[in-house]
Amino acid sequence: MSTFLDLIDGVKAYYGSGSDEWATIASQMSSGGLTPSTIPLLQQVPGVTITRSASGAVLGYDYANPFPTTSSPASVVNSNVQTGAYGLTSYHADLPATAVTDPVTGDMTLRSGSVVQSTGQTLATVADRASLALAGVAIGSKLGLAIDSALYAANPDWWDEHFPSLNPATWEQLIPGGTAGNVIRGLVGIGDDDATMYMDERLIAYAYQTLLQGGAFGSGDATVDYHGSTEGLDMTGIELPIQLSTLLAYKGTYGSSTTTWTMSSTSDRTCAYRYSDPSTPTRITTGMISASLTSDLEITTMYFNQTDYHPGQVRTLKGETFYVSVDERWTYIEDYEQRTPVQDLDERPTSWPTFGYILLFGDYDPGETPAGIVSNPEAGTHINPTLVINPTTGEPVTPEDDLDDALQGLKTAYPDLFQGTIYEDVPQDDGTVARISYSPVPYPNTDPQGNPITDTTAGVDPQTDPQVDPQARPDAAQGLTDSVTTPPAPPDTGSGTGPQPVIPSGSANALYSIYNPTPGELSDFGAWLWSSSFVDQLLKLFSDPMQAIIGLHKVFCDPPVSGRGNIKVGYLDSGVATNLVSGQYVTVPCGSVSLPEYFGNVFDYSPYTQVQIYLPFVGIEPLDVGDVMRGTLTVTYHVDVLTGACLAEVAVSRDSAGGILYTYAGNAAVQYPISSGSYMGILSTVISVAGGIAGTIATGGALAPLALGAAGGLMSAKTRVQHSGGFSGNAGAMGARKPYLIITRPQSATAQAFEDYEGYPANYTTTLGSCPGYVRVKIAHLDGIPAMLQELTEIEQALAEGVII
Amino acid sequence: MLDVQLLVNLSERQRINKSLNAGPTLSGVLRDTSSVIDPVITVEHPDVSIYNYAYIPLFGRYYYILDVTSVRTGLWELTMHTDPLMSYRTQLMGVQCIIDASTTTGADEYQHGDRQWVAKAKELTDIVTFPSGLDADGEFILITAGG
Repeated sequence: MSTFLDLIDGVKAYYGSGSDEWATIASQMSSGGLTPSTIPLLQQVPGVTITRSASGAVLGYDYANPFPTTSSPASVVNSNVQTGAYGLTSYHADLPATAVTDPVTGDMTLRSGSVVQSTGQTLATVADRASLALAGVAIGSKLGLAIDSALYAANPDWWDEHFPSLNPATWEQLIPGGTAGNVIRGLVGIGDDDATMYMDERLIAYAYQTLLQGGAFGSGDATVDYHGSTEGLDMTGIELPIQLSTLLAYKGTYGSSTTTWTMSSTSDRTCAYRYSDPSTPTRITTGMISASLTSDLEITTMYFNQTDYHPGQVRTLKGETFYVSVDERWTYIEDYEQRTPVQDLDERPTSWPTFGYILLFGDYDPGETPAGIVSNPEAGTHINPTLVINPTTGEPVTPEDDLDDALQGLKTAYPDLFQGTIYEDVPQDDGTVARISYSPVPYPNTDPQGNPITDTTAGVDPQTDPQVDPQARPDAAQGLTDSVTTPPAPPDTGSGTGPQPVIPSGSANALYSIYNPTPGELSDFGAWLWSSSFVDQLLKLFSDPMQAIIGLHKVFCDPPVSGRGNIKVGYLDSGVATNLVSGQYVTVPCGSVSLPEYFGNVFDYSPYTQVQIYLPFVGIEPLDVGDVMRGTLTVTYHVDVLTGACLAEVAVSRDSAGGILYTYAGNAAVQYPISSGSYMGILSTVISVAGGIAGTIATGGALAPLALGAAGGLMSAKTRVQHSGGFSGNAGAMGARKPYLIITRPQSATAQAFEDYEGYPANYTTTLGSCPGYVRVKIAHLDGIPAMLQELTEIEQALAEGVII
Repeated sequence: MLDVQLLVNLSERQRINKSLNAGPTLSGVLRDTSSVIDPVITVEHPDVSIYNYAYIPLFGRYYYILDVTSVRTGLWELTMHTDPLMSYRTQLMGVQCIIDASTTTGADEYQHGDRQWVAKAKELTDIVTFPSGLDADGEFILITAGG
């Protein structure tokens, strides 16, 4: 927090030590007043702010020590000089200092800060600005009003609209200039361990008049013109603001246990409720019922609890069908602690005592945004306007009365409101000194969302930056050592399914045509192609007639055809009718086979059992036996009739999981030469495929890796040999057309009674006594055996070698 | 002097709870500096050579008779070594352990273990054909320029 000395340093830095300006300012400020000519000098010092009201009066001299505004004060080194989170911007020092002579010792000290009116002591304060809403709520609370957040929700601009409009000229004297009228100047008094907000007492009186005009203190008239019918009901003492005088609905079902209300509303409604105790059903009390907020058109569950909600609180009615119950005096439908609405009739308590009447009041015109503010508080809990007397007129203060008269009336009627007032003597431009008094106002204890705020220490936001005592927690990692990791049981089958293949669509059949001729039609086409008439015509178009024919091949699936048409070669129609191929891709399902276990034990799996699959136009490919054993294999071919490319998919389905686990690409077309160039291309492809096959066979036996068993045994060593090489195209056409599996299984040579001599592999934890027969122990902890060390060692060795139980 | 019960053990060395044939209980003298684990006891008996196992109640242990030495006629020196499996068979039954191999599991546990299963060199090969496939006879596809 900046002090007078900081200001002097600032002046010194700006004007220079020993300068006339520095000397003048320091001298005048220490003597309690600045002359008009000195004020401009002070104003030029960087950091000095002279706050003036909108009318031009000086409200205060501040030496700024600004920090950037942040919502997290704890993020800075010194949070005590950091702004709070509610409407404040930056801290300013309080100036000017005043020389004070101690009456006992005669010592003179400089006093910087505000003065407590009752004690004369100095209170360090910092000045800042607050929004009108903050000021209105704080002052309203000081005056005994509970201003609900519903007001803000209904009309957040209420304060901005009503404050300046009550008395514009007076308003300009209260607010800092250049703020567009939407902030007020306040002080924050810094105590030893707390902070108190102070506002200009004139502003407090002004706010009182504004709230009075808004009907915040009730009409005091028990005969409000209700627009509904309350005939037969005793409404004595019922106070409602004028704005909430419309009886929207009421229900009298005395003797029934539950009731349901439905009320239509085209927009949000501000409402207040009254009810009657079941013992005196026609006597409407001043207790409040609060509705919970839900969606449109109908009232939702209602509950009431006088101790929680201030009487007179309004709720914005959004509504759904609600259910009401009265239990003796207070009850609620929803869980009071959690405020969970009961939505279902079946969730209601089983015994709901009866109730009398419930009245629902709201604003008259549902089409307008309600202008009411605080609904009627219970008498006795707020100041009574009838007691606030204008000293000039002798009548209760009205919104139109002079501000000073209103202030005096408040001080006279409620002097306690102004306990703890502080003041500042602020030099004015004309050389006079204006004393501005500030009275304490309560901090808001909830934020605009209604969340409670508990910390009143300046500069700390406990909600976002809670400060806890540091702790040494050497056992923080204890939890890790205490945890026991249990590996999940391995699934037998796994889970999930794979995505489905997407066959591309679309074609460029304007650029080419695909035909599916029979051998006879092909012969006719060839005859036409090489007739003299054809050549004569094409010679004018192409230098090479074969340019019009892109390719001829055979695929081993039925292409999709769409009718018949003549084979057209470029611009010429051959006149040979044939099938027209309408689609490029063909799917050929090859069916499914199951692969159950043969042995039902480890022999069904690698490395003992091997599974391979032959796929037409692909070859023989190995499959992981772990993938396919116990599953159902499905082979599907996708063939591109345009190019002959094929994709063989091997899908495996096992229990509840499955998917395409293997895909192989090949070429399922047999190319036919239609020119010397095309023939050479075909031939080169065939040669390369054949070379690949030969090479593979030459190396497969000698260079294929050996699968050796563990522990140096070759008993189940298996030489893996590749069974085929490339198998596509013309070579593939000479192979089988149906896929098949090649399953190679071992013949067990396990000795009889093997388990009695070597035991079956096991890996589980148990007690030794539960393993009759031969057992070989992997790990054992020999606790509880009173043997000597040598004996224990011998036991361990014997268990590791195997014992017989 | 201590009692030694001579026994005949016909069970496997690895068997924890051995099957024993009872013999005479003799009083013997423990040789100086003999240990509890490897006692050497002198007993008097016409013939102890048929016994291969012993129990000494004082030590609470069962023993293999490693050797029988004749001191003089009717006097024998028995060299023994403790059999901890038999001696602590009751406590061993309750020992918690991780089993590596046992009779009671089976190959349907699908575990390879640290030993290879023995299989013959000859293998069985099965062919399983899928129900359908590509066409035996193909279809010609003629592609020409233009549409």
